[in-house]
Amino acid sequence: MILVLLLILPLLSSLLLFTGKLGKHSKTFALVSSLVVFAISLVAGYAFTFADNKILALNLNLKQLMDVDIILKMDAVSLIMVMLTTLLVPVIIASTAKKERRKPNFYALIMLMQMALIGVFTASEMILFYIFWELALIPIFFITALWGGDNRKKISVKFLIYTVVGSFAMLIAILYLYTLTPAPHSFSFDSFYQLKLPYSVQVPVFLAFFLAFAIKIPLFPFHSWQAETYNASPVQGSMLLAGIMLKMGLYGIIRFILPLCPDVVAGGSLIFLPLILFGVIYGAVIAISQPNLKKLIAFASLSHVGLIALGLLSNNHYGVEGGILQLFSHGVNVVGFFLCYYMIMKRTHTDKISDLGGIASAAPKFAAVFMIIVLANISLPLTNSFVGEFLILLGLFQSNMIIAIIAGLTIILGAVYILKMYQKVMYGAKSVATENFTDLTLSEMLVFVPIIAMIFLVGIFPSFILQLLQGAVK
Amino acid sequence: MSELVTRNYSLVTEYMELISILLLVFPLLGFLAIGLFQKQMNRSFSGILASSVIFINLILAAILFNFVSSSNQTVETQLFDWIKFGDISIPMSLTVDRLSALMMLIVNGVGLLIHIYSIGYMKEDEGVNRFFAYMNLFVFFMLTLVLSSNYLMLFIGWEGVGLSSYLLIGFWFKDHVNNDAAKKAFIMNRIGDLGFLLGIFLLYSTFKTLSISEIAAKASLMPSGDLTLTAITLCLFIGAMGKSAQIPLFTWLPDAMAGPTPVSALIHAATMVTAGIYLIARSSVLFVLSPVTMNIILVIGAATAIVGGIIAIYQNDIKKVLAYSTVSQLGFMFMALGLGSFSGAMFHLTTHAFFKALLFLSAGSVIHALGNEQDIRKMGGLRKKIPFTFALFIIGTIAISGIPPFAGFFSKELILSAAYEHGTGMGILATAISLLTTLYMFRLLFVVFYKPESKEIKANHHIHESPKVMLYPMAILAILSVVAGFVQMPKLFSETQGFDTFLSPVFAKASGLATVSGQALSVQTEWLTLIIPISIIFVLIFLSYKRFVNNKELAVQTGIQHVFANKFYFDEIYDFFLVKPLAFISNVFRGLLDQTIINGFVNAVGNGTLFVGKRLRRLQTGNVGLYLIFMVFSIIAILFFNIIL
Repeated sequence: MILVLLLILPLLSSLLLFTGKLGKHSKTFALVSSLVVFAISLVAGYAFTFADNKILALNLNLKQLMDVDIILKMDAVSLIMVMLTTLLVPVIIASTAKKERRKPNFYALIMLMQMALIGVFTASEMILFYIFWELALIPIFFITALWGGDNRKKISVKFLIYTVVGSFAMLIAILYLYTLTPAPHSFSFDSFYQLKLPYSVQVPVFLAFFLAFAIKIPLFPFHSWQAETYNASPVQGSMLLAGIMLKMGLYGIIRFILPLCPDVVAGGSLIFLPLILFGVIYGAVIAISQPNLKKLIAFASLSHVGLIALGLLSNNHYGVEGGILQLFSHGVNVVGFFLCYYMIMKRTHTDKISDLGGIASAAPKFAAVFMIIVLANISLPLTNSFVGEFLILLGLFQSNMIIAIIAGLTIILGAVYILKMYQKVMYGAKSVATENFTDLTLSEMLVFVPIIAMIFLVGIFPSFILQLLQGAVK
Repeated sequence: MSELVTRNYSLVTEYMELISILLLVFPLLGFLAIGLFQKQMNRSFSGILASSVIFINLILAAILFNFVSSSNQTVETQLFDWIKFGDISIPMSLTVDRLSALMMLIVNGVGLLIHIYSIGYMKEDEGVNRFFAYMNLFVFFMLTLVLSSNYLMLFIGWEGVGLSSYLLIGFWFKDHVNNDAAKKAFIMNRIGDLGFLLGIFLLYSTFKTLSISEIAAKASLMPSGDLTLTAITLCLFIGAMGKSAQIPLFTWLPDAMAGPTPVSALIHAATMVTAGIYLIARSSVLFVLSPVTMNIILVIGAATAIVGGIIAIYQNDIKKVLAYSTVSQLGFMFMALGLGSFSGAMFHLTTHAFFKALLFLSAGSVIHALGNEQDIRKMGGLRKKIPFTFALFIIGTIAISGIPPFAGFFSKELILSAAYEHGTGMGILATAISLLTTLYMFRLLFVVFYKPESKEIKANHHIHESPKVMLYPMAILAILSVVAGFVQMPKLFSETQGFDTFLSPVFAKASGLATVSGQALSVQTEWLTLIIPISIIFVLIFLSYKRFVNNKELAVQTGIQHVFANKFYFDEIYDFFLVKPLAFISNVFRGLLDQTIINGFVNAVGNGTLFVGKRLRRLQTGNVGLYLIFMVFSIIAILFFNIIL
């Protein structure tokens, strides 16, 4: 029941917003309904912790109607992804500045997006999953194409085509797997999991899924849409993309690649791990000389999500758990990072790093908040990403020492680009652009509260998530 | 009766556990209180609050110290599970044994004095509240480092002190010189931290735990020279190299002098930079079983001591001289570790904390008196202008030079005797290294205080002695620099080896495993090793007096001296081989590879599709005849292929 609510509520509020009747109350309405969804997801989490088999499931048998089962399931991984979504969406909605006067449709699209994302993370049936997967693309496409910056149309079309190509590969794999299921054929995840594919089948299935997810995550060399799209998107769009939507790809690795292609993952450390590893270093190295703050976040993110993919594919349970935890943490941190970017952009109307400077003396509160978020991004101990990265690297270390050592270089490179950026943006003398920089207002501070709370909560007490995940990872 | 005793006993232990927690809680609260209410808090109040916090901490530390030294037990405190699932369990838990109790006393003791001193030193600074918040934060992380009972929690403190150091070096962030120094410190430390982290992975993979005591117990059963142990200890040593500024990761420390002088005294002389020594002493069992690593430590330590000492002689910035001196002294401590003299290293760490803090605070007093002048060429004759500072500086100088009966003499003596036990050559080398101290310290003393007044000094009428709030803490450090050595007399003079005995339970396991190579020294040799260096010291002092006091200008540097003054061009070498290539690769990746090749390829695919689409569109002519021709040809082609295949 809870699962249905989680899907229906965002959908209803989205439809209501689309009517445009709410006018200038649209933001408030969207914020309240997203907070209600968050509360419901907390209830779901509570129910989950006390459920005997650690799974919340819903099975609507609609055979008579349309020959499809609607199966929604929530295990620990789904729960964490749903929590990430429901936690971040209110933050993203709340972040829009009053004076930007977004139309009701803007919020309607965000709520629609939330519904699609929750659908992706709870679907337990391939057709349903695929529908939600593609549905999630539509709102973000319009958000970018309608409210974006320069070149927004061209870039959003490129983004759309690029990811659809990947999805198509996945669709073929899904249909192929469907034909392998015992008659009467079934699209349910469970029947897929029971297939026990031979190695020769695992390889093409792996390649198809991997292509779809590698484009979505994105992994090197399929990333070229990412920085462009972030840059062209309004900041809320970038947050939705980087914080939640791109996690769909990593979620897909957990859902499909790990259970369906275990032998490829076990034996593949010499084939695809080096490629991902190269991307991890590549993103970090590019971030060092990146003159544009938003693109810097994109490349830093490229490096971070690559590391998560390495953990998930490390064929080691520390790596996988660390990867899932880091999935959550990275979502929080990257949204925090974009929020900081937005605060600067709103006030100075520039995101060229060299145009900024001296903000710390003008805005000490913002400096402190930004510092915490930046430190979480370079995974300082006691922040959320330390535990995740530690476990990922530990897992990698146990499965392939050399990869772990090279991946560990991001610890150093991360410090290089982050501190360089922070210094140029925040320290030194004030520039023309930052001359009248004002500190955070109370409402802006409030938007940061959930982010900072999660940074320390997960950094200091990660065990509550890690223990939840235990059953699911096995 | 016995039940009562046990109950009492456990009650005391419980109190001790509580105290060890409070030791972390108070500085954290201090940081939060001052940090969150920076704007509201009165500028003169934050210093008092921060100092009171450390004062309470010092009392707590003293109680714990007293407990572990009288009862010879360790206090183990479980806080909560940090990372726990499946078969991995890394708790937050604290261990107070004699080693951590000693470090606690140093951190809180020296920390308190420097906090009080800062009240005077930072009085005029507009960011004073932020300053004291960071200082309390530093103490919190340093105590986390010292008290943690497993390697990963130690790593929290390890990176945490790095963060506080970063924030304090770049405290005056309007000037990018300071920010660059802060960034450099953080990044160089991170290089070491990666080594440390890899060591932790190896430790966990080998021992399935990160608990320091469990690892020591399991490792003690392994054979000496075990390859895994060697790898682990090398990784940990890389971490220590970063934090304790050893070659090749030492160049951040002199730059770190960009921070306020009390920071240099506390973090970059007395406490944080000694964390590497603490880490190795803490892991003594692992290191004793890895002779290869021990030799590497010995070589790196000696090289750093020599290089740091030589560079110090040619510096003209009062804080830089002291910074290179710290590098050199840390190298000396690493030599002691490499020789297997863990208590020697810890003893020198302790006495060094006192006299180096004293020297930095005195330097701060000089800088304060001259209105932020650090160039020693613009000083001279200050002994009459600021007599108290002068007296205290002299005490520090004598103590660090190893002149009896001041503290440095005793701690150096312990290390030198370990060196002579290792071999005469090593002994002579260690003696020579320790003599470098005399050279740079007395040069500094004479140039700053004795040399005829420079024209800047003559022109400066505002030279004033520092306020009492700065002088009293210095005086206490001076007293400690005089008396601290007596806890450990050379074997010639006393049967009781106070310091050695005190720490012996901590290192018992390690010394049981050590392969005994040294031979006891004869009484004559011991006398010789005492008398010869001391006589040389006095000769050197006389020579430097001659050289520096009467010369008006410092000699122009020539030839090899250029190399020394420019710190052997380490920074330039790093710049050429690391910094510039990294920037170059970054630009190549960003411009050529990412923009042109990868993005270009993707766009080409897109444009190609459009292009082909445009051409193919022409086929749709609407001419049915043409369509039929295509159809027929296609069917023929399909049949043809079917036959071939």
